Amino acid sequence: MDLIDRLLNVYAVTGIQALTIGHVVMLMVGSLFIYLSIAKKYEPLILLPLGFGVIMTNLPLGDLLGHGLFEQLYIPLETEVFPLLIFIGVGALTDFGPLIAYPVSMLCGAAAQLGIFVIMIFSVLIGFTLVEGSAIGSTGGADGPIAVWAAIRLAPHLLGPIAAAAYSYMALVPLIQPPIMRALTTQKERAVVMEQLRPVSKREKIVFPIAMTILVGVIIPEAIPLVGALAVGNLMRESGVTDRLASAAGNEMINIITILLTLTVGVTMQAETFLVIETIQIMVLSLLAFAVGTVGGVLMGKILYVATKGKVNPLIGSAGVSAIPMAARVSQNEGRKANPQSFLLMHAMGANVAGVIGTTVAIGLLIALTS
Amino acid sequence: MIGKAIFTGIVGYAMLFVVMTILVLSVKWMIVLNLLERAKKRKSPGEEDHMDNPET
Repeated sequence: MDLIDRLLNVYAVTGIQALTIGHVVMLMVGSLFIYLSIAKKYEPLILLPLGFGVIMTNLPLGDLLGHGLFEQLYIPLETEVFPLLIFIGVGALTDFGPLIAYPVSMLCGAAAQLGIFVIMIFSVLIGFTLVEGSAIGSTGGADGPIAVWAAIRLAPHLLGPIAAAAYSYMALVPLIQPPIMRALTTQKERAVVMEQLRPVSKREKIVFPIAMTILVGVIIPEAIPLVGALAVGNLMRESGVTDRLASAAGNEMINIITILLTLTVGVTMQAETFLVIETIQIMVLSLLAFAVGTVGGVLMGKILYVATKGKVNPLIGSAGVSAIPMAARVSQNEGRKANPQSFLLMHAMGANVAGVIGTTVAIGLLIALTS
Repeated sequence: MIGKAIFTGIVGYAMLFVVMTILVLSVKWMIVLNLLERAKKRKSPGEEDHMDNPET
């Protein structure tokens, strides 16, 4: 009898007796992320640690967020430190040259944020609050760090599904965008060859991040942290006097923070909070947000096509979402399919970096208008 | 609630275009300054300014 009691006690401290169907489903979700990252090469830098975090946190009785490393790592996540540090790295890796050379592409970066606002309204329509809807809409920018930042600011309880949606759809840009781009444009429009961009001086590249921070910051103070992080990283890159800092921000720092951020976000995706109807709604709404954003960008591209009497290829508009550089590559590939002489990459990169700025400004606006 | 959401959406999207247009104008203004600077250099050729070296 004593032996059976002891064996029962041993069983009681194992996770087996606490294993639920929810845990099993989440272990499968985590494994799926890892499979997609390794076998399909879908955003492996993000989905692999994220998936492993999901697996770790859904092993019963682990309580990873309750103590130790992940309890500590959750602090810089909820205080916005991680996404902002990643944005410094993004700035250090971004070349604003194509945008400065063709500033009108900034309008594509604005138009492609349509999904953020439309899905915010739609989310409220199906029962989410205004701030929750704004956080869900933020996935329309198809930018993981911005969506994470928006979720932490506006609806921290939705961080898991929003991060999962944003990072998943970032990886699916080459599948989601092309059908929309083809449906909204004619063969003639897609075949337009755009003029080569002018050279951009170092002075312009240095002034731009400073001017952008001041202009955006004065109008929308809520956007200062994100725009400022992007700009300071870029200034370190372009100044020519802080190469070591720019290199560290764009390599070591962004890599380390990506590991910590994605693992921690994965650990927040526990079965009890993730396997709810809201998660499915958020996944669907996020997909719609991204698709509507692409529509907005292409429509702006068509407006520019008409306004310039056919000098702008409307395909660069879809790169106005901030999935950088994937969306620009999609524009380039679609342009090449329509006309092998077409080289849209640099113009699309201009719209793409404008999209990063546009998403940042849009989220800042939503925070300001809803808080 | 839905009324507030629609208002926020329309105002937010409109303000986004305003901010981005201001950024477009600021870049255009920077281009003008750059061209003026180059024109001035051409009139009085002197020491080369490393800040003006085009990179792309």
